[in-house]
Amino acid sequence: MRILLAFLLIVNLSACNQYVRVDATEQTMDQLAVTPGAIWNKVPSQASFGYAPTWTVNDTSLDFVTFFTDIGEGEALVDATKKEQFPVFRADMLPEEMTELVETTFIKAYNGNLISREPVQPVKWAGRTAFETSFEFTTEDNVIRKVNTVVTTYEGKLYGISYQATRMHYHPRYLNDYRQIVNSSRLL
Amino acid sequence: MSAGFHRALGLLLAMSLAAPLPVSAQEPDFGELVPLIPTRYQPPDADTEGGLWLALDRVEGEIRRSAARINNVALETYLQEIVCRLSQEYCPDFRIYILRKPYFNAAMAPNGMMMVWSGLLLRVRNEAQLASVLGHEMGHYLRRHSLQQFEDYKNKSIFMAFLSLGLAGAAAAGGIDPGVGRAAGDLAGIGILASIFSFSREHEREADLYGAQLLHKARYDMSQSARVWSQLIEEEEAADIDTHRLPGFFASHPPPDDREASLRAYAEHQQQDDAGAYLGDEAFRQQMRPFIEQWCEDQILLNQPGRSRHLFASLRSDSAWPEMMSYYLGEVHRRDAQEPGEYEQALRAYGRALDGTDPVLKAHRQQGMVYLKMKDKPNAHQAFLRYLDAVPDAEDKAMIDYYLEITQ
Repeated sequence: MRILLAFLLIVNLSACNQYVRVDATEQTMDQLAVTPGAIWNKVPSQASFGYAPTWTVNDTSLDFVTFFTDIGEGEALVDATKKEQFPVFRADMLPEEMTELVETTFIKAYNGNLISREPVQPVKWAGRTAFETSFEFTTEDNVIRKVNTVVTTYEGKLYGISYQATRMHYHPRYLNDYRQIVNSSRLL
Repeated sequence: MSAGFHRALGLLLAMSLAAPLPVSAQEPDFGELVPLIPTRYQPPDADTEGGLWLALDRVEGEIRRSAARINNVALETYLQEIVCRLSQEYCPDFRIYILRKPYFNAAMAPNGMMMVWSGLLLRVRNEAQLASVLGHEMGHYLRRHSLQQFEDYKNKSIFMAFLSLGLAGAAAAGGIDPGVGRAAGDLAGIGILASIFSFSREHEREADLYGAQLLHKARYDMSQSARVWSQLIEEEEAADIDTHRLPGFFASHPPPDDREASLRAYAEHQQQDDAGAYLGDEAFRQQMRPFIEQWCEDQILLNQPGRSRHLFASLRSDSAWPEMMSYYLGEVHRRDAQEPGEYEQALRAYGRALDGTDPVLKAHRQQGMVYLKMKDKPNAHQAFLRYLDAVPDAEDKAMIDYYLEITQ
């Protein structure tokens, strides 16, 4: 019996380190609910974008969607080690400061160079006024990556979704799948 | 870039930049240094140096194609002209690559390839200061320091163990890891290699002295070489170096205090006629102007408010693009407003950005944002209107219209 329990424990623990298909049903992360298409895989936490919930189709080096949920005053978007000084959310942030927060987080995470950014646009997302933008940056491997992001505040916390993929091929390929996630969003 | 590129790049940069311990206070020897390498030098293919050059030629190919390279003919030509003014007959032996990296750093390869980072170009105030750093790097090449160090380590039985340790570090540091907190960068790899392959303190002293000699012969203002170090000392003191330890130059060089003293002593020893000394501040600023905004944005994105605040303020004090520096000083105050009075300081800084011969018009908009954060809707509204007046075809009009609506 103990051997069986140990075996089950090992199987369960190893499952935590594996990619798991995301069902095409409503998925809830804190107070954010989204309904994806059937193409996404949940990334194990240690390989995700700074431990934020992250989904990918092919691999995070090519494409991923990441969810920022329940980000409170003084918290960074990603759970980084002390060595990395990432900017933090402030409850009095203006819309463009929130998109700056996302942009700076990505640039610092990748030690990248910003190439371009689109102007921030006010939009309706998850039933609320939100703000979306996109930006491109290069990374150390000479690849240009593009990020689309939408952010808002809800009950004093920041919520957002970002989609990053290589500008060539992968970003346009799954952009509509990202938009499906965004359009399906609800704040509970 | 391939993992192999990062391995070689880490090796190259560590060999160029590293030194182990601070130079002790001694009476400096200002004897004339001469090149140890002929012009148009090419190593024999079969020997160690030939192999090293072959590896570095591949690295150079990747740098040439790198997305980080600032591939601007005018800017590269300007730096090449400075190198030629310093090196005279050795001019064709050097190739300059400018990389978009927001740290003070430069590196010299034994094959004549020199890399200069944009953070260095942002920080030096004039052509004489830039020439002093380029001259230092050229000193490493002309005195063959990299090859001497490489030969020295090659003869040690532990060389291969150190090499694989260092290369593994550089490869790991050079890759992309979306697991934040393990964020990759070439700089961590340089730090590892710097502890293994380091120029001797004698090499660093020689490179400083050689650079100063080149500066003197080219009739640059020699006092500027010491000023480079005093500027960096002040920046380090102002920065939060515990949590923002500066990678690159300071990770692998000794403290700059001794270098500043030595270079100042050499300048005094030469008793340069200041009237004839060339500063090159106007030419320098003209060449850098198209890039300064991008480099300031890169500095802001480092999220190092203490360092950025000092850097922009000191650049403004030295009358280097005062309106632009005022704008970015405002940005630092706005983004990092944790102390009372920061918003007021941001407003003042944005105001100075608008008041000059080269106003930064988007400062109107940032004033609007700060007023909004201070819950001063009437002033915010007026600032946004001023912005649209100044920039009627603003790309961000949709957001400005949103701000105008919520501040009515």
